Amino acid sequence: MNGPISVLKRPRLAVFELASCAGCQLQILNCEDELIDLLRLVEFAYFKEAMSETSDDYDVALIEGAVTRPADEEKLRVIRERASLVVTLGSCAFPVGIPGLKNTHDLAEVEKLVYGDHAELFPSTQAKPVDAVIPVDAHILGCPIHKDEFVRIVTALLIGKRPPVPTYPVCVECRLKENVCAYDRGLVCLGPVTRAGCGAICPSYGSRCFGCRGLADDPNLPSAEALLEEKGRSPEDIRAEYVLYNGYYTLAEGGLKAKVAK
Amino acid sequence: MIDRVVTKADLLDFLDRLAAERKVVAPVAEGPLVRFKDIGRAAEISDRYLPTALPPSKYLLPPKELLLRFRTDDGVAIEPLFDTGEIVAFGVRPCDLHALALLDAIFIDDKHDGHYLSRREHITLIGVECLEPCDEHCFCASMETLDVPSGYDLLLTDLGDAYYVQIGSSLGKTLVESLGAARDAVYEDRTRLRKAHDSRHAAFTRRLDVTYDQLPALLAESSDSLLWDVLGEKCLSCGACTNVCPTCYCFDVRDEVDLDLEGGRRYRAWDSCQLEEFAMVGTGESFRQPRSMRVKHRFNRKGRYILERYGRQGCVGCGRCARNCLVGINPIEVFNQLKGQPVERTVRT
Amino acid sequence: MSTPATVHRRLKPSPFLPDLAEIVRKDRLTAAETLYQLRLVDGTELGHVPGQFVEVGVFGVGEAPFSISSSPSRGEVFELCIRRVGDVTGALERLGLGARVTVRGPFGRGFPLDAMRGRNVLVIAGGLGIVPLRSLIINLLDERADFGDFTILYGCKNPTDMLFKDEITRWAARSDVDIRITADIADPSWKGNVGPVTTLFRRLTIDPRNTVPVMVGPPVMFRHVVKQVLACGIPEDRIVLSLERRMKCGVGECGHCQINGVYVCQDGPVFTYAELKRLEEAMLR
Repeated sequence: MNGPISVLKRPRLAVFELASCAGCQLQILNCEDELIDLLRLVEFAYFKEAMSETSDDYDVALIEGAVTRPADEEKLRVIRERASLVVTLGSCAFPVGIPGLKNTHDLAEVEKLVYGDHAELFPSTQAKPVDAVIPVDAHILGCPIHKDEFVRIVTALLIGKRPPVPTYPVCVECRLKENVCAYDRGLVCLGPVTRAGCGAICPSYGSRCFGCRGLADDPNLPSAEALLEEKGRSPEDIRAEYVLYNGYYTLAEGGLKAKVAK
Repeated sequence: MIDRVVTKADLLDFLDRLAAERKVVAPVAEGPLVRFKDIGRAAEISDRYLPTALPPSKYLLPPKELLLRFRTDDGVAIEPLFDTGEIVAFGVRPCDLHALALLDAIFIDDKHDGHYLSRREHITLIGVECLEPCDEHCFCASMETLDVPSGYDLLLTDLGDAYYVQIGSSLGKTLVESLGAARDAVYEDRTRLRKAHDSRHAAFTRRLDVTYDQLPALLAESSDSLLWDVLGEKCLSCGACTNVCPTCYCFDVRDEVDLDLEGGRRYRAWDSCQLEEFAMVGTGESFRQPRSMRVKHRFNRKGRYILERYGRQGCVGCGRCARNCLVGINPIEVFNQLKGQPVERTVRT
Repeated sequence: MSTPATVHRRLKPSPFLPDLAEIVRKDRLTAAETLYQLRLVDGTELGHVPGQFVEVGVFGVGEAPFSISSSPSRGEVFELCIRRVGDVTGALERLGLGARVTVRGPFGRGFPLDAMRGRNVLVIAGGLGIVPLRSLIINLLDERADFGDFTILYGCKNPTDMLFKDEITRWAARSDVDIRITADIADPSWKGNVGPVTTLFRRLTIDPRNTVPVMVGPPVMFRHVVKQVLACGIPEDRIVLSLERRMKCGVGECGHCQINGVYVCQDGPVFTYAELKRLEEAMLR
């Protein structure tokens, strides 16, 4: 009565999978220390990776994966009707991630490459993020998602709080980790424009940021691109940086495309 | 209090003993960086002059600091949290000692902030003077932060085979007494100290075309400079400069809830005026939206506002922001350009 | 013109250690705004001056700053008029009567009541600006004899946005206060003035030698109204205004509310125009 009021009382969760590797679903199961407590707050109605029971009666839909087939779009519309909250899980669902690489090729070619002579049996579309098809209430970002952030966001949603996802770029967290900047290790890095919240995990382990959490709220893209150019990256290289995770939105907005085409 | 002199071997011995029984933090070099870290043995300590990646203020205002814990299941219980863990910080450089003195003036003298005070009361600061500039980004001589009049418990100066030890507090006196092997400084030692100090002047050249106390006036008259627009176009708003700054202390206050939804924590976390959300009010309006305004605000805080309010340098010339800026925004250049010709609006090529 | 110094309820080891308050009454004022009546659980009075603000928190959700809407002349309970815009305001709305919230403050420099005594007072409220000004208005009405002519100008976007309607009707019925109201956009039911609050100045006589204008509203209103009152010949250091910024800590530490070298939470939120006119970030130009 004095604490936060739950807006959702022990909601029923359903976990769905579109085009993805199922790694984000596994991250939910990796919440080993929190799972017992979590199950006091929520119950799972549908979670193919974890249980055999199924149900169409759920309050919160967690969706992993990108939309790549006409059937996916139909499925999403049904989910949106049934769920009071729709939350994406991981980069494939938003901002589209690895499945989006198919968008850089001719669709018919891709279908033929994968399904060969039976391609016509498997109608497919350009890869799209979930929010390009239905309204989404929250994104749990990352490739894969991090279990701590999953728990933080789920508990926030339960008490009616906006998901505590940073609006600022990865560099903020990377400096707090006292990492050697990837640029000082001869790499290029998307940290300056990518949304934080990951704790700069990739640069912290000697790699660099690939942009899996999408763009920050206020990225200075022209300056970031000038920086990549200064580091000897060609327009094609820069385009490739975005395509890996952020192709759907950044390339669609035209700005980058125009720059690459010049 | 009488100054002391301790041989380097004896000091290392002492630090080994100290680190065995207490939490000792010191600069440790790893690859291109030096970081303040817990040490187990004195041999881990780096004597490189390069400022640490994060300043030692991280021990007094941690990036994420719990302020309160609360429970709401049985009535309401709120418990404020004060850290009382003892830390000995060895190898704090003059610039950082100046920055910590500023934080003391703000958080203790002005704000009576118990969270900061508790940490400050439990940290021992052993400074080590700089006899050479660290690199091309340092401009402490211009900010007049190379000499440290106070704010340390002990201040060490390298005399070659030994350290000259100045005692800045009763805590420092107790510590130096436990050092055992230190002897009282005599006339010759003081002469050597003065020589060491004098010899710095050639190396530590002034890098700014103004003195630090001219910066407020310079910044006030530069409010409409086109340089802010130029910097605004370049700035990535990545917050690197403010996160590594020893005098930056702005924070956000947030709550986290336990998994039973009946308890939780209120904490403060470092925040940055360079981020878009910083000056946003509840209704979503940001009062410092343009990047150029955010950059201008940072330089004004560093060179002007803090000095005007607290009478102490808001920038200590450590150069960390310049070392960490991917697009080369550099306070030496910024201040000197403001002092020099008005900057034409240029478009990056 | 001197203004009262910051009032601290009491010095605490942690500036973040809150008091507890109980929600004793909730009145929905408009679709988005609710008036909350709170009482400190320890039985003490808040001890504020009009124009100050408090940080109110809901456990687990967080804190946010709110101007105090009630007058200290009506002790015991205090009132906050809150628009639902984010996490804390949303969580407050879900709390029932008797629920406990955290309160820190009151913080900041309030309206210069003492310097206003014996003078004519011209209150100018734009939109949510009426929220802190209600505290001043009630206080003035309770000590009416201490002040000269009392005029209130209140502008809102739509007539339906108007806050404290019943109270304003009661004030308007008094002969010792002159209230003029305007709406930016009229609806069919609206019989009053249409246009921004500056249009209310047309039929107003202001004695520049003895009038203290006190205004709270959005930046655009400040810019126009300041111009109006300066044109009347009122000196810059007698024009009083209160700013809204992101007062996160309330104690001048966190930096969010800073405008140029000034901390709104401690140096303000009430300022004179003379203090602000050179501050670019005050957005008065």
